Amino acid sequence: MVAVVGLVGRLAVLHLGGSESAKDKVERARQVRRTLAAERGRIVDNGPEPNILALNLGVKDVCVDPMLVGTNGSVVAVAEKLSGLLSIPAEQLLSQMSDSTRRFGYLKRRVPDDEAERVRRLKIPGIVLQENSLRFYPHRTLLCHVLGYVNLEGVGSAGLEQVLDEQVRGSAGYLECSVNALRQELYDERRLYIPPLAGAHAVLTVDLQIQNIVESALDAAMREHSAKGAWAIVSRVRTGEILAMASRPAYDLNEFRTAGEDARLNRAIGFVYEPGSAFKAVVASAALNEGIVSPSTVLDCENGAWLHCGKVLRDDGHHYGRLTFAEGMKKSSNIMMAKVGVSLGSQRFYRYLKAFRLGDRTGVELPGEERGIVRNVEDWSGISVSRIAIGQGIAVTAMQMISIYGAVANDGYLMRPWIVREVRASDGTVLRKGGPEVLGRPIRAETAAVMRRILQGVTEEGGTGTKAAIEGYSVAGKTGTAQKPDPVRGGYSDTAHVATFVGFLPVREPEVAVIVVVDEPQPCHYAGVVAAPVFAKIAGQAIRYLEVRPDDRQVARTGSVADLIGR
Amino acid sequence: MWKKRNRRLQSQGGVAPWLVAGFILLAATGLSYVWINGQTEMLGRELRRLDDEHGKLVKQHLNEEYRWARLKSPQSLEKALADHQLAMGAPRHDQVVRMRDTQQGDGRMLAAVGARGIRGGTKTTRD
Repeated sequence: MVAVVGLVGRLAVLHLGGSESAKDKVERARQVRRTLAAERGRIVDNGPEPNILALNLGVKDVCVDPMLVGTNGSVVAVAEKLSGLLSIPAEQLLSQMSDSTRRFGYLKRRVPDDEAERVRRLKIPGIVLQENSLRFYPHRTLLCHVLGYVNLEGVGSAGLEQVLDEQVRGSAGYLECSVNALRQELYDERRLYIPPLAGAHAVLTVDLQIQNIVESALDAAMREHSAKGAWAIVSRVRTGEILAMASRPAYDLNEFRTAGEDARLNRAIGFVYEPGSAFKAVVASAALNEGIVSPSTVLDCENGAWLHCGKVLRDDGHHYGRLTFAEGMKKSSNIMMAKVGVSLGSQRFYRYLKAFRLGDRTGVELPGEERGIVRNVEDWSGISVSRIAIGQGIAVTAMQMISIYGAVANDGYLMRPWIVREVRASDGTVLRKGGPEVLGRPIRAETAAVMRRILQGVTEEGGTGTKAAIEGYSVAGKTGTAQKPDPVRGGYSDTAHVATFVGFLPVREPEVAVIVVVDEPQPCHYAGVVAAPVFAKIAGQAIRYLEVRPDDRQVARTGSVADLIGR
Repeated sequence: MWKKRNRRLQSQGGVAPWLVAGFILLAATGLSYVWINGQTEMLGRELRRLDDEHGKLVKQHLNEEYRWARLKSPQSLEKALADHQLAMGAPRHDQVVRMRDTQQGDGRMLAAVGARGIRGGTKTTRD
């Protein structure tokens, strides 16, 4: 009876009286204010059945209350128990838990669910699990330089993750409510609830199958030629959309912290190099467009050595005499193209360089794009025009080169390369829509048509790029073997080269443009031997995957269904 | 005796009916409040449970999607083909016959892998 009276009395005191501070303390303990994390939107490719390229998965952070662990038993025993489960040395865990004045710390962040469940089952007082999420990339190294990654704070820090961060990240929600003794939320005591807004989903123009073709070909090239690096881009000529983009060395996006700066560099847009002979298409297009030459114009290639402004220009051991302009391109004569550049003149040539947007970013939606190096025409020396004509004294990115060849393939229209097809909010609203954009028309359609025929000769018998030929399809393109600058001795290196093949197909109605660049291939460094076969491998598979009809009538067997079944 | 007390109550006017009615109403309101409060709390708990379950299912769905994406990754497929020693590749050009779709009559072409020289399945696509 006394106990009951006592209890009733205590209840009355607690409910009706008691100090304000005690009430506040209880009330505060029951309050929960929590930020609700928004799910980051996913990134998918442009395949017929979209492939997920990046998505967020729920994980847990293993947290510790060192004071509670310390008061409830042996810290050493807890450290030993967790060491095996979390794959962290016991000594490290011990140091994280030893400061018993602290009330919070992370033992391990982003732990998979199954691992976290094993920790939870131990029921160690002071060890708590906190919900978190982590960005996962199912294809690991595939498309790594394009996708980029999200740092531990959930902020996109490279590639498209960085560019689209604002839209893909979403907005965090907020909850303010009371909880019961088991820390479970009391629904009827919710004071404020702002639901999190999930991030938008991004659809890329990239096709995972073509991307895989490109990456496999680059891996093989790296092995075969012991190269320092290799990169490639595949784009759709008519629209400028990027179908694939890869760079080597690469890294696993799920382990981005272990990757070095060198591996993280997207060389397709961030590596500036002298393009060598692949650049001859620019001077050739300009000269044709200005009516200075025609494919049948005969020029003297000076038997392999030409003295201009006191400097001798050579044709890499070749001793060509008189060649037509088309033959000169096919054989990649330095002397012929230098002469054409001189005929064109510095001012006019510079105007074409600017019309092709050289020295400017192409505008592809990726961070880290370089502008290349184009000196002001006022700073050109007497020989500059002849050297720039053959791809020396100018530096470009692979993205700029493929844009130029894309313009030749696309009747002279220079398209802005783009890689983000669409960004759609979780409620279906389109936040961003990519599409073809014409940047300019540096050359006329007739000039482009003539250039296509001339460049087709490069992959035909007697050309420098015969290894780029693809059965059933006409291929136009250009090789480029450039010496790299020697930073120690000055001038150009005799051993370090960059091999390029850039082209498009089918010539009749171009569909795709491809560029392949191999950095410092060994021992052979000629683009026709190193880069052209990689081009053929990539373009040959991609064009068939895209179901583009061969333009060789003998190869493209046609017939009706009746023919096939023999009726 | 009883009659006597009853008479006394009657003479004093007795318990007013409105007081009784008020008491009953108060009790009913109190009980209703308790019952509704209980129901609300129960519904809250149910909502919380369903919310948690929904969260778990979403998580599970995401995990499955991730696994599926990994499985159908070109790299995984290539590895599976290699493991099973299936030397599959695109057909040669002479193994491909492009067929006019005579039924459609709109000039569209059908591409099909010809039966000649091919072992295995066929593929039909449009271009």
